[in-house]
Amino acid sequence: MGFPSSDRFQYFIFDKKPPFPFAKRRLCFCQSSKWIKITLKYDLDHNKGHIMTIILLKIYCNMKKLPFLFLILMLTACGGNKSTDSEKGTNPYSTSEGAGTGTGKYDPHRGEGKWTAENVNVSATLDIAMAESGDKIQAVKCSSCHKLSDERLVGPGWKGVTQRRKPEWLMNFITNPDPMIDKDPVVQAQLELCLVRMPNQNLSDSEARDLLEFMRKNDGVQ
Amino acid sequence: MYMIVASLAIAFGMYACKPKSLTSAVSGDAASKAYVAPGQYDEFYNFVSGGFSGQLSAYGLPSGRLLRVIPVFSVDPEKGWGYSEETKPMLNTSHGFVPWDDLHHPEMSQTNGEIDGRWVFGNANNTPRVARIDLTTFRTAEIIELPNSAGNHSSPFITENTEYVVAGTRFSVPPDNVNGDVPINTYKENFKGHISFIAVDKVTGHMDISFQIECPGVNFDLSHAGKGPSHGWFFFSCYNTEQANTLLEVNASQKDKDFIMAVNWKKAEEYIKAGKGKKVPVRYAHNVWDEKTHTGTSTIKTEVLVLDSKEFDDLCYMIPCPKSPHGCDVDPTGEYIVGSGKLAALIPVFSFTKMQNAIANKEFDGMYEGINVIKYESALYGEVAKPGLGPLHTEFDGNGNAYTSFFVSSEVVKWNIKDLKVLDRVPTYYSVGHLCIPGGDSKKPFGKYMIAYNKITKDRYLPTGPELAHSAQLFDISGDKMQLILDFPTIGEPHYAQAAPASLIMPNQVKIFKIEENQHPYVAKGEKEAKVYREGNKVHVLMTSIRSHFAPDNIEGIRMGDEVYFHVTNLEQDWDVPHGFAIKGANNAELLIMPGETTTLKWIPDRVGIFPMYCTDFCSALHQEMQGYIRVSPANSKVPLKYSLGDTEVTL
Repeated sequence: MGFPSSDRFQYFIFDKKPPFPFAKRRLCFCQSSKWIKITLKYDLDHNKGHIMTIILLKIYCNMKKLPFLFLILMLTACGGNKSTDSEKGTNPYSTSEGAGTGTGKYDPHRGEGKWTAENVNVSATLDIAMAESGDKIQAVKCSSCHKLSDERLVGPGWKGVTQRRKPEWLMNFITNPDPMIDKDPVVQAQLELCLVRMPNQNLSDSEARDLLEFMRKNDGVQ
Repeated sequence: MYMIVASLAIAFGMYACKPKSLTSAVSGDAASKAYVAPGQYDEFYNFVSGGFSGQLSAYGLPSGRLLRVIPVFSVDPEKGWGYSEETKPMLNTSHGFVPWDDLHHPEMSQTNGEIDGRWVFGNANNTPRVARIDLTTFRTAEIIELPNSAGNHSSPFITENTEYVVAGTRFSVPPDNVNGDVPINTYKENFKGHISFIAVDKVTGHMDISFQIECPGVNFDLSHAGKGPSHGWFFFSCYNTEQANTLLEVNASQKDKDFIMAVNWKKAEEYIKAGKGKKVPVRYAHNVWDEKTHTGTSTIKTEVLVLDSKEFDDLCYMIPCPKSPHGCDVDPTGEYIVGSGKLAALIPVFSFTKMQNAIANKEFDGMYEGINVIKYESALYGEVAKPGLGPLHTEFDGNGNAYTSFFVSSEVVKWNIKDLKVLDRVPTYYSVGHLCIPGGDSKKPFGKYMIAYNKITKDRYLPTGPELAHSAQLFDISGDKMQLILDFPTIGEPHYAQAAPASLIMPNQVKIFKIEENQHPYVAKGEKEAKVYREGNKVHVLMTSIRSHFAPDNIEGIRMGDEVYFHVTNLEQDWDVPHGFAIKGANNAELLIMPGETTTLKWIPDRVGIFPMYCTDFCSALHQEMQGYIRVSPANSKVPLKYSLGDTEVTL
């Protein structure tokens, strides 16, 4: 970080990172061989539509003890950001709307999203009506990139996918692809081959379920 | 000690200290007030007219970031606006396709006098039209032309529930249905000023000219609707009451006072209901965008209802207003009407209550062209004395204060509406025109910021040849004193602007168009429906695009003399993934197709050979692979029409 040098202050150091966001950090100045210690304390309030920053500077010098200096800076910046989402860099308008139960560690068998072994109801036999509906959906939203055979087009062919993957993983992946592309080791390996991230095609829950049924049909379920 | 503090402040990025010479009008914390950190959203949307660019720009405030230029009245090859077959009808007029106009005034829709964030209206000043921009898509959804008009300047101001958008002609002209082949110096007898009241459907926003009022031939300049107690009235400033037709600079500046015309539009509605309107044959275009077919349609309408201002003595009244009034602004309470005589050295403030009493007591000062003239003193609340030179426009902060721009003295003056005392003044750089406060012409201003839009920026920015950027200057008005915190260049020439909290607009954004709802006649819903077929010399290509290929991407059998229509459907259903489409030698533009949308490019090959086409909008890691070829053969060629993608090939 650039800083104007002068006779009095030759350089200064932040400890490691610039102090945003933070709880407590320490600054040091070197003045000739004498140290000035500055303690910074902040209080960030993200929930009131603005950021309020309070900085208390406490300055010592071993030559002469200077009086405490309290500097209060109030920053009003970009109001309307009421959630801490923007601070973390996740967009509140993110298309990964299916993400809901994805707390904790990533489960490579289930994937990330709202679907679990419990809430995806798959029966031993095929629901023909659902599979037919799924066929129509894949013709519009999937077939540009996926063949029904095991041959790769843009993405991998679908043959055998319901044997390789659990139903809840498939349901999560087709409704919530972005976080899974970022986290799933198998998908990441696949991305190295295909180089195109699978688009979120905005499937509704029932569309996704119909599609799964079609994939099952494609794999021979009757 | 101060050095430590100042240095820390720099380190934290809270201050951006400029060299002293530039900071005379900017105090130390200005940068922090306008600073919006990377990744953070602005607090307000600011819709700024593009003036002679014909477009509307959307900025974020307080950062001044340009978010989007919305094409409205001028073609925009970047977005295919006016070039794709679907958008061409949107720029149709009774004069045919008009590729350019001059957009001066955006006005946001209101409910109960408050900005509701649904639509922005904009006026075309040259070929008179009003446009409605949909704020869920940030696209122009409708354009209506105005008959009997020229120079649609006092527009598109609205009533407090968006019942009407008005349009008053700046250049009076002979009405459309009479012989206009008359000597220009017969202005006084043959030229008329028409004011249009365009009804807006509460749900769809669709516009329809309810009626026009034929007024004397003068220049109608600006307007604003009454609100609250004055709801039901509309106020129009007019100049050139001298009715000059040449050297207006001198000849329209003769009289000490021109007028603000007050129109009782509720009364006009009654007269229309009672059948008092004359049906007048005219021709005007009404263009509507359909989001299901992704196509605009243009209809030519042939009749308009007209009320003659001379025939009704309680429809229009003239209020004398000093020296060629320009701005005509109504305060948030609806009681005060501020006229800005652009050659005057005072600001008259009229009282709606006094005006009503004057009408009731017939305190008139004769007539002007068949319209009662109210006595100046009878309508006047008071005058702001010595405010500055050349007052133009006034906005309000909702705290009882008014802010008036002064073009000649390059300043903004804050004054109190009740006691008419000047409270503060700040310089602008330079020659300020309009002002904008978020919600500043509504019943409920949001205050906080004021933006001044400047005509001249000499010495403010790095020079760019003979023409320099116009500018917007952002002031913090939350305190007693106005404080300049930022200035930024704008597109075209900024005239009026509107601003509203992002929270009114952001949640309603359309992210994609659902492919299953696409009713375009040439949609291909999936690659299975992609195809090419011939109808005589017309070849239709129903093409799909998805990351990252077109289907089909090889087409042969096109012959010289063919007209090829590429109907490209973007199969993506994810936000912010448009695909582009361009083909070598196309004489129009590119297409930029939103997810789920179908858009058409017409292409007439001009020579035999191979023509590449490609996606212009970087869409994925394999975007550079998103391309294809068209083979063009001579007119008499026997090459069959054939299209393919990979191993799938169809020969017709």
